[in-house]
Amino acid sequence: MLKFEGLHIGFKGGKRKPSRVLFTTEDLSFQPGDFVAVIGPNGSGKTTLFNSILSEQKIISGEIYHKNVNWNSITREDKVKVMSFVPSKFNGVDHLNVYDLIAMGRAPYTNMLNQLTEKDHAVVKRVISQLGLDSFVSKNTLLLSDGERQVAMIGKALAQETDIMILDEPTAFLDYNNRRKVLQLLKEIATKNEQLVFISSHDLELCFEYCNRVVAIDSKNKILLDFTAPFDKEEVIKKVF
Amino acid sequence: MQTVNKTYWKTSSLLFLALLLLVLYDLTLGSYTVSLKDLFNGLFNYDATSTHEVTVRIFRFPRVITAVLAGAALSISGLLMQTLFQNPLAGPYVLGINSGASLLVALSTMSSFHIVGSDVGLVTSAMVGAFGAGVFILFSSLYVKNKVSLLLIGIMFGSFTGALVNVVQAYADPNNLKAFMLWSFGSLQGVEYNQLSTLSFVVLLGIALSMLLVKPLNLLLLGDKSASLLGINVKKVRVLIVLATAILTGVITAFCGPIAFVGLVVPNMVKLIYKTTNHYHLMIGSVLGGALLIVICDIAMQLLMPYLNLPLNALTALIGAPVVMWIIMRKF
Repeated sequence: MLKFEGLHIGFKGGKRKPSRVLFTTEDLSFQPGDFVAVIGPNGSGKTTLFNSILSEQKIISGEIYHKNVNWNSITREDKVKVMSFVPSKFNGVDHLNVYDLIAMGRAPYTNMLNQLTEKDHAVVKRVISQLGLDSFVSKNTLLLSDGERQVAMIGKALAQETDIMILDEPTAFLDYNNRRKVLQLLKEIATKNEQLVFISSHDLELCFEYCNRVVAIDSKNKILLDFTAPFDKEEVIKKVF
Repeated sequence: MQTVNKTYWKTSSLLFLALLLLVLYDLTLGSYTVSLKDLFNGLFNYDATSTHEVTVRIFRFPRVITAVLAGAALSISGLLMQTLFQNPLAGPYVLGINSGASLLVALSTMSSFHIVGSDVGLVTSAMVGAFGAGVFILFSSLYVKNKVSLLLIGIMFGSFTGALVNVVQAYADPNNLKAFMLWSFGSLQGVEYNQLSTLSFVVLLGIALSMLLVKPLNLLLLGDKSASLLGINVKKVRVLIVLATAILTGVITAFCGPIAFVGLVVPNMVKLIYKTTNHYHLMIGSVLGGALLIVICDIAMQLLMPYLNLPLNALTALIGAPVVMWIIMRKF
């Protein structure tokens, strides 16, 4: 569904500044249902890779294809119907309740005044019951625990009904139990909803346990390595760190 | 969620009703009270020979409508600034947007540097000043990430333009200086009947532009990146927000002087009452709440008139400053 062709990821230079390549990729393709962890040392380019896919920054060279359509030829309005993003930390907003937060995921489909249709409400309600958030709907996002808030943000991304979901270090601010819970949830989303889920993480053990695919950034050789389950942990760690 | 929407509408209707009653009451106030019958005739069945009707139509009607428009415009500006900078203490006055407008108004009224002498010229120069200040604070926000520091930059910008205004004042003609000083106290009396259409048109334009920004404003609460990844062109939206603020703040500053605190206080009150982040309802609430606040201020000024001539700016500061302190204690 998503294909990388000879990507050079890094910071595109200008007239005077040369481009700085963090790593390159071979031709990789990802299928719906894949739960992919991006791992690598700090500063190796995990966030840069995500920003490149999300079109928040430019790719130095190479192409991304979504369902055989060149990513560059898709407009931003259409892209946000294909990919959703969850930041590592959201602090909550006063007076914003969980229902309205999840409903924000419908923004790419709503009119200028952001009015939800019956269909939008139905999607939001479905997401809420899938995540078991029924008792939280009217709770203020400022007053949720970090774990609950992260699940609500995942709900926002689910309501966006995208093929691809990208989460930047979703477990970074969570305790051990919540880490397992969130990863289990994402695994279910990938397999049941047939979505392609990317996460970046430093929790190698948990990634090996829950993800079916790990792409690792080898900063020494400046290349993205692709591993599929079952993983040889020793080998991955030796090559990357 | 439909039921929740109904409560928002109910609150808005109550505010509207209160506003309507107070507007009617305010229209009867002045140097002498006017009966409701004269009031009605003055507005809808005008007879130029009746002194009471002339008073209502020429003096009171413009004053009260200006109060409503000023409150609505400044509150919407405040709401826009608070969401743009994600800071409950932001407002056109603290961020120096009023000051930008004041500087150009001072230049065009007191110096020989007349851009255009007419109302349109004055309004345009106020808007240009407000927009300039808005763009300056927007650029500062890209470098200054700390919310309190950004406010300090706004306040410093205000002091800087204030100093420039002082320089202009030092060279001004005494008559112009007096007019400018009176203007800077803030007043609702300055708008004449035939200027009302210009004022209303510009304010409605600014409110309409703000209404078109409801969706981006709602999503900006999640942060720039999340908003952008929900399909919002963040850069474009930021400029449009500053533009709407400049239109609204500029026109009110040109006609009524730099009115402080309204833009800061009203949106915070509205958020407390409505308990929502949906800007569609917050804007309706701000329009009504802002209008209500300034109409109440005007009523207070009219009632106190025999004893004490209170400038509008003193009154808004008396109400506004304690509210600001309360917000700081609660949120910072």
